[in-house]
This record gives sequence, structure tokens and C-alpha cells, in this order.
Amino acid sequence: MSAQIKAAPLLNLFKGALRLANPVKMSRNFWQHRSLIKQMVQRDVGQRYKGSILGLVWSVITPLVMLIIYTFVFTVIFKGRWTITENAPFGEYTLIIFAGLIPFNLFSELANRAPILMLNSPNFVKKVVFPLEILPLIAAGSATITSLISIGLLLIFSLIFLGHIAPTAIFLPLIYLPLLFLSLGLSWFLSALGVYFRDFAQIIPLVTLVLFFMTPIVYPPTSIPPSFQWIVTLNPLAMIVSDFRNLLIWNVFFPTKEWVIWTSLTGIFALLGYGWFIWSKKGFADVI
Amino acid sequence: MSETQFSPNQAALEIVVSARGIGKCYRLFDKPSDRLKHQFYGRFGRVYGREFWALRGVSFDLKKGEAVGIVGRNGSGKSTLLQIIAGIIEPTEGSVRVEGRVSALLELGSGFNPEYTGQQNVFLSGGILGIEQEEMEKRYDAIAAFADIGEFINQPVKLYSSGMYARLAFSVAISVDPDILIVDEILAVGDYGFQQKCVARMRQLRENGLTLVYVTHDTNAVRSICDKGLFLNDGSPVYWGDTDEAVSEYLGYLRQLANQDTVSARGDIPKPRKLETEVFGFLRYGTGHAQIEKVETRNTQDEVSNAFMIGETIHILVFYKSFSAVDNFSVSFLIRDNTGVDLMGTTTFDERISLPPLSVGSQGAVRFSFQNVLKPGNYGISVALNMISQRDYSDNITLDMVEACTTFLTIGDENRPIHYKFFCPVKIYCDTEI
Repeated sequence: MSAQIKAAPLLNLFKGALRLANPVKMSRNFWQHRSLIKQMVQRDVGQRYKGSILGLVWSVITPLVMLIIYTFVFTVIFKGRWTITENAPFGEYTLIIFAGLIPFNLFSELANRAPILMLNSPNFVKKVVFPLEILPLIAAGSATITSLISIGLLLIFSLIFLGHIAPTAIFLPLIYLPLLFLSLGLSWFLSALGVYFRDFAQIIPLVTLVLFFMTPIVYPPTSIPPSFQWIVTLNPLAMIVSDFRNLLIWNVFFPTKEWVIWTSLTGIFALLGYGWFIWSKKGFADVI
Repeated sequence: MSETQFSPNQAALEIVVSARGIGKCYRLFDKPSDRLKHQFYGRFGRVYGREFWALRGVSFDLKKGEAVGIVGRNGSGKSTLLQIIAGIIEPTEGSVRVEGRVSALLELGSGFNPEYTGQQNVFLSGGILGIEQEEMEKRYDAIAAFADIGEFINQPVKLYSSGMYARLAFSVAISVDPDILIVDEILAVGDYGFQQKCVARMRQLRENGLTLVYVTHDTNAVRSICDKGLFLNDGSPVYWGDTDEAVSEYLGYLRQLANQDTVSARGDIPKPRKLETEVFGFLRYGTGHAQIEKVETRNTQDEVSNAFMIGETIHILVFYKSFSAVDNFSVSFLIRDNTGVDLMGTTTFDERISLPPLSVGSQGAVRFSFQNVLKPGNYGISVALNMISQRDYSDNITLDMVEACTTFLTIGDENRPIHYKFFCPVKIYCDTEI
């Protein structure tokens, strides 16, 4: 009985956030601010390397160095091998890891930035009427650009080491869809929660670290014991990472059914995140 | 609202800012997470934190083209009110309706990103208000010219001085075609020349139909720009309406507070008494140790009169009564015109007339007599009883002060019109006699 009494207002609360999770209104809102979004994504990318001598070159150097480290650690030290091909060409293992890292990096960058996204822009929260909900979108735009640079790099290496570029790479935008839905949804949830609970800024990097090892990025999904396979099944990142590899390296089209399910689920997740953000943003100026 | 009887549509159209009983309650939480808990569990009646009303019960309408000056001490709710009008924070109770594009200059650093250059911030501000980049490019030169900060426009704004910041922020705010401009004290950091430039521009924009909401401690600026005044104190509206009255109420309140401070600093002053005598004015305050009983203006026949010719002698009689023993007693009067300008007056202390010390229950009167030199019009007389001995007024304590306790009229002579505040007899010698 008492549970029922408590559940009713709580339901109302989520109804408020649900009512605001309106895809039409959301799209219209973003369309209205398209000029601002474009302008701020440009600035965000520019800001990242501003004042550094090498500038945009860093966006190539950073993934390159990471790649060398992973290759060294996993092929030379751990003697790891992707078991699919016995006589793998030199560098294939590196490319496989790289293909998995690209979507994961995009996800973790957005997740790690989210809890401090509002706290870092007090002027936008307190001094002007700013469409705060576009800040995660801007972070996503900027992270997408970084990931596209990495993909360009990967395709070049693919040509050098493997002698070809997989034609299926052209379908990659389809995999970006669930990836961005997932990352954006999380970003909306976390950036709103981060305003009230500063702890999220500490928790999330830990969570992404755990996720990194729970996602088959540096090891093949087949090496997971069957009793732990559910980790992969329930992890949308596992599907995204594997599809990135299929399309970019192995020239294999991704499983459609899985894609449809995950894209719908992450799409709903993103909408709920948006609704939650809009519902709770009224209180931001009172706290920051 | 009863005025809706009269061409309701037009009246409704003209009102661009309408506040209805708005209030903002801040819950002071010990932890930020308590706030979210309150939002969740508040619905079940559980309470987190303490209530603090920063603003309560504010209602007003602003018509298109009107300017309101908001005055009040620090922490009186002025900025909170502006933030609510600007749509940055939600009122806890009541509602506010704002029509048109709002450009808000709230404190320092409105909407600017400190890492961006001045130029980038100009375009960013345009983007926030939904102005296309091409349109901002057209306006950019004018904005840079008005801000007048030279090469700094291409530097990150984190390097700006507060004056430069204010210059750019103001320049942007007035260049985005606002219907409603909200200015919060930001101009105070600009130099005098820039302040004058801004005030001139605000006047000019008002002629083109801009509605202005202006917060400043510069009461002269409020008087000169605004046609409505709002005096807030401790989050509550004390006065809404005429600018001059709002400003005088505010200044009167400040003087009253200063008096209380002096009294409590002295420590040897007996407890203040209620002001109980039947004298009424626009504002009255004081410790009440001696109180004004009656103020009269009399003519040369010693009859009570409220109308005087120029050149006629005016007698102001101040009757007072003492409720405790008072040393260093002084009586003063002040004449103000109907725009609130202090014209003339004097005190027995300044004239070095020592009045006898007052004993409990003693009564007395002081007569001030002077020749009327004021131009035709209405004048208000303020009267005060003080306790003072130091020439620098450092120990001044106001026992009773009644602003505008009585008024009088100066009657003009149509054969000798007077166009200036005072008539001072002037001797004229023509050059043939020199």
C-alpha cells in the first residue's frame, strides 16, 4: 500500500520528463539553433588545439601514439592474435584495435565530459537565456569530427598494410546513429545530474574504464567464456565496435536485426535523456 | 483589471512586460544533492533546506517604450527580478509575461565565453539571440566602433579589463535590435565618458520604442532616463510608480538607516520612542526623543497661509515636544520643488543658535522667517529635529524628520514673469551712468 502511495507522484515526475521527450519539438529546437550549433562546434574543435604550435596535427599524433602503444603491448608483450586469420598481414591486429577504439573514444569522451559540461559554462547558465540542451550536441559534433579524422587515418593505414580499403566503409554513418544516440542520451542524463551531484565527475571516468575492458576492443569477442557472453549481448558498445570492424576492415555488412533493435533502443534512450535534461534544466541557475 | 473595459485589445498589445505576484524562494541547502532530493521528495511533503525569499509579491506592467528604474540596497532582490524577467530563472510563484526580443546585461560577463576573442563573442551573442551570421557581419563594424576597445577586440575576453568587458557587452546588447533591454549596474565599471555615451544611446533607443529595465545605484541616472520607478527592500516592493517618488523613498530610507547606525554606534542614547505626534508627511523617521507636533506657514499678519507672493515674508513655525532630556538640540527645515530638488533651508545648528536643553515633557517652537524668492509653483517643506554638536555632523542623530509635512504655493505676478527657480533682485546700471 505504502509503495503505491509513493509510486504515484514519482510517476508524475517521470511523466513530466516524458512529456518533454518530444522528437518533433526536439528537432525543431535544434533546427532553430543550427547556426549557433555550427558556430560552436567549429569553436570547440578550434579551441581544443588553440595555442598549441602543432594545432590540428595533434588530432593525428594522439591516436597514432595510442595505436603504437596498444600494438606493442598486445602483440609484442601479450602475443595476442585475432584468431580469425592465421597468417595475418602485418599491422592487421593494430588496425582491428584501432577500428574498435574509434567509436569507444567518441563514447568515452562524451561521457567523461558530460558531468562537467554545465559547470564549465556558468555564463550560459546564469547570464543569458541559452539553449543549454545544445551543449551535449556541440560536444558530440566536436567528438565526431575527431573520430572522422581517426577514420581517415585508419583508411590510409588499411591501404598501406592490407593493400585495400573495404568498400563497406561507406555504410559507417549507419553505425554512427546508435553510437551517437547512446552517447548523446548519456550526455544529457549525466550533464543534468552532474549539476546536482558533483560526484559524477569522479565516477564516470571509472565507469568508462571498466566499460573499456568489458567491451571486446583489445580482445576478440570469441575469447570471452560462454558464461560471460551476456556481457557482450547487453552491451550496445560491443555491437557498435564489432560493426565498425566489420565495415572498416573485413568488408562484411553488419547484422541488420541487431542494428534495428539497438538503434531503436538507443534512440529512445536519447529522447528520454533529452526530456530529462529539459525537465531539470530549470533548476540549473539556482545551483551553479 | 478594470482598465480592460476601455479598448481592451490595444491595452493588452501595448503591455510588453507583465509581472503578476512574482516571488523567488531559494532553499538554502547544505549539500547540492539535497536540492534534487527536495525536488523528488518535496512532493511527499518531506522538506530539505531552509527557505529564503529573495523576492516576493512583485506585480507591475510595462508598456512598450517605457523605462523602469529599479532601486534598492544590495540584496533587495533587484538582480533576482531582472533574472526572472530575462527568463534565466523561474519564479517560484506568480508569473511573468514578456513579449519581444530581450537583451540582458546582467552583472559583468553576460553570456561571454572567456576563451573566445571579442569578435567571436560578438557572433556567439548574435547566435544565442538567433541572428544569422551574415546579419551580424553587417553590424560588426558598428559594434566594434561603439565598444571602442581597439585591438583588444581580437584578444580573448579573459584578458579584458572590467571596463572593456562592459563596453563590449553593452555594445552587443544594444546592437541586436532588442525590444526590451535589461541593464544591471554594468555601466558602473565604465569610465565617465562611456557611461554618458551609454545613457545617451539608451535615450535614443527609447525614442525608437525600446522598453528599458534598468538597475543602478546612480539615482540621478534613474531620474533622467526612467519614467517609472520601483523601490525594492528585502525582496518586497515598497513603492511602484513615479520615478522621483521611488528615488526619494529610497534615499529617505537610506538616511533613516544611517541614522539608526549612528544611534546604535553611540550607545549612550536612550531607547528610541514611537513617533506618536500627529504630523504626517511623505516619509517620517527618527528616534522620537523629541517630536514635531505641528508645522505651519504664516504670512506677515501672522495668519496661517499656504500661498505667498514673491517678496512676501514667509514664516515657518515648527512646534515640538520632548519625550526625554535632549542636549545640543537643533531644528531645521528644507524646501524642495515638485521635481525633488533641494532648493533652500537652514538649521539652527548651522546658524550657531544654541537652543536651551530640553527636559522631559517640555514644549517649544522655532520660527524661521525669510523673504520668498521662489518662482511660482508648489513647494514642499521638510522639517527635522536633530541632536548635534560636532561641526562635521559626525554625531548627528535625527530625533524626528518629516519629509514634505506641509506645502505652500508661490503666486506669480503676470507683470513680472519669472522663468528661473529663484528671483534675486538685481540692480541694473546702464552705461550712461557708469
